Amino acid sequence: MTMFKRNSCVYLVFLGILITGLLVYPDYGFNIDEKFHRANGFYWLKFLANFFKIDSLYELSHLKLLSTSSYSQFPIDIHNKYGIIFDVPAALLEILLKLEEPIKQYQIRHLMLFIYFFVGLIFFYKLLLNRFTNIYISLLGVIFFFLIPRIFGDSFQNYKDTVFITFLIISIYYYFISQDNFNYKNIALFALFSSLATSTRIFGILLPLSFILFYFLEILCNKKDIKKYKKVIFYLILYFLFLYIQMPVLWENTIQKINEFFTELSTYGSELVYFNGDFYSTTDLPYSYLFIWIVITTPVLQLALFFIGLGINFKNLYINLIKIDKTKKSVSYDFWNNLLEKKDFYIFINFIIIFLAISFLDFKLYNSWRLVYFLNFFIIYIAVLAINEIYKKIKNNFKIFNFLGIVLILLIFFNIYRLNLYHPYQSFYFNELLTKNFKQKFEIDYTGLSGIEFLRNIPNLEEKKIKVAAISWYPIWRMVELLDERKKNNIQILFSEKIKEADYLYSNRIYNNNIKINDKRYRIPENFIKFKELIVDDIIIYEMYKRIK
Amino acid sequence: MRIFIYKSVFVAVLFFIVFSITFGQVKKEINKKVSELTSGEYVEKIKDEIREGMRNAIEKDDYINDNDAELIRKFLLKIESEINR
Repeated sequence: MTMFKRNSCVYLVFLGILITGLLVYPDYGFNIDEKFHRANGFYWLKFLANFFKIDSLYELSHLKLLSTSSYSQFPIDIHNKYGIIFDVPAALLEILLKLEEPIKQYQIRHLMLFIYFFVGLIFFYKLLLNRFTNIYISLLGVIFFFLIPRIFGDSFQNYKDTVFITFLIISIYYYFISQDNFNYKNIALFALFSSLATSTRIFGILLPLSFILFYFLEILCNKKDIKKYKKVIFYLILYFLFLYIQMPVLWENTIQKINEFFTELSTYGSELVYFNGDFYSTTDLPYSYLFIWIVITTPVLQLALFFIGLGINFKNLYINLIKIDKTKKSVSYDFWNNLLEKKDFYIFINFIIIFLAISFLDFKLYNSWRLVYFLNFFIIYIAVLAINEIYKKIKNNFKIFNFLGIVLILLIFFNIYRLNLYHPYQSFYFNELLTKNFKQKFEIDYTGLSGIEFLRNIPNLEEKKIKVAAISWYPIWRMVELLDERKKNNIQILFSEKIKEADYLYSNRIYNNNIKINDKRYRIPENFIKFKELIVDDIIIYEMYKRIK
Repeated sequence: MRIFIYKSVFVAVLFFIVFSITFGQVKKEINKKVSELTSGEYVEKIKDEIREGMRNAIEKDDYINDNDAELIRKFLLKIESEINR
């Protein structure tokens, strides 16, 4: 096949992804964190405008910041240690485009987030091409990643995790490039993107740590590699310098702010999580928590290939371990024989370390495994490694090659069908391994994406005043501003004892206390009946209750 | 030297995992039970059960049998006499 045809294939796949994103981004609900991130954007934009003495921008961002205040939200001047790489450009874009309608202000962020993710996919393709040097296998990897429903759904509304995944991919791409050519330019780019990843999510710290670990492994095998220390130090200096520059919160009282950051980390998120039919403290989860979530929320095709890939990695590790004594030090290293193997080992060992650390060191996890969705990058890389190995074995046997090719295409179409089935709630996807009963044992709409759909579906809201309340853990009032003017004016939100007087109740079935012990607080009042529910693939996304007397 | 390092790391990781899934698991289960028993929701549940028990007692004609009633009566009288002594 000519180069032109191969390139056309690449453009076609990416064009398809881009068009899909552009067509569906307005369909998504609104994450409860979005309002906070909008405020965070204006808070830091105001700070930067003041710092650089841009008065007009300062005034505008100040006014916007005032408009975002809400009593139920974290105070932004205290909880201000989030990265700014998404929130500030989004805030600036909102000002430049003069977006005044609330729903447009959030939708532009959804679009922008998807563009970030799209860039991440481009770098994922480049990374796979760098390793596998096969356009089709690399494209397959991109398709696998794009079609993971929870990643797809979150690429429109989960700011932190999606942005982190993007910068993690770009960082690892530049790590690979720097291994091919260990020069200052590539190291500087790796430092820049790994600091961007770290400022978005603290998990980014794994990038410098694994960089040092691999340098240590190199010098263990080959003493000559110790000469690289200047470049390692250069990386670390740049990494911390970039991190400092892009986190304005560190510009004053740096040490104190770092201390506060780590203290505050433990205060974020829920106290309890509903998992496998029981309530657990988020700091004392079962060791199987992450493993089970990976198994039940990764599409079967990607999951099967991932396990095959893991097997290949373990086999390679074993082979390398047993021949350590026989290895001539000057020729190769203990855990890899060439750069390609080194890259595979880098991904494999990072995945294993992160997985074991999170499973066994009692990391605080909540909202399914959202906080570590970036592991999907490692999962897909390992799955692509499996595809590559299978391809090498069967490429000369046309019968098997064609058969497996057809099976693969059918499974990809099945994946697309499932993705479409969940639309626009792909963020709550479960794979086919789960029975209907088992699906009820996990929390679903933890970010309240369905809140806006509930409000839009309240009957007669345009004609008359309607009282509404939430009977689960969810700040439904945050979504009211996204309704059109007439509906917004007709709605009244009730709280605590008054919920019995509401016309309609909303439940996303998320609770911040153990309802199995005592469900008083979230008990549906006797004067209400279930009026409507949204069920997708046997999962109840939300319920609407109506007052009957 | 490097083989010693690899072996040490391998053994340490393995030991940690085995320790976690044995003793660590038991510790987690005890923690979960204790935090459930000391939670506000559980206290409320116990209060509810006591209230329910009291309601049932009021509704029943014979809540305690004659022997027990006699025993409790004597006990209360004994207490009363000692208090008033």
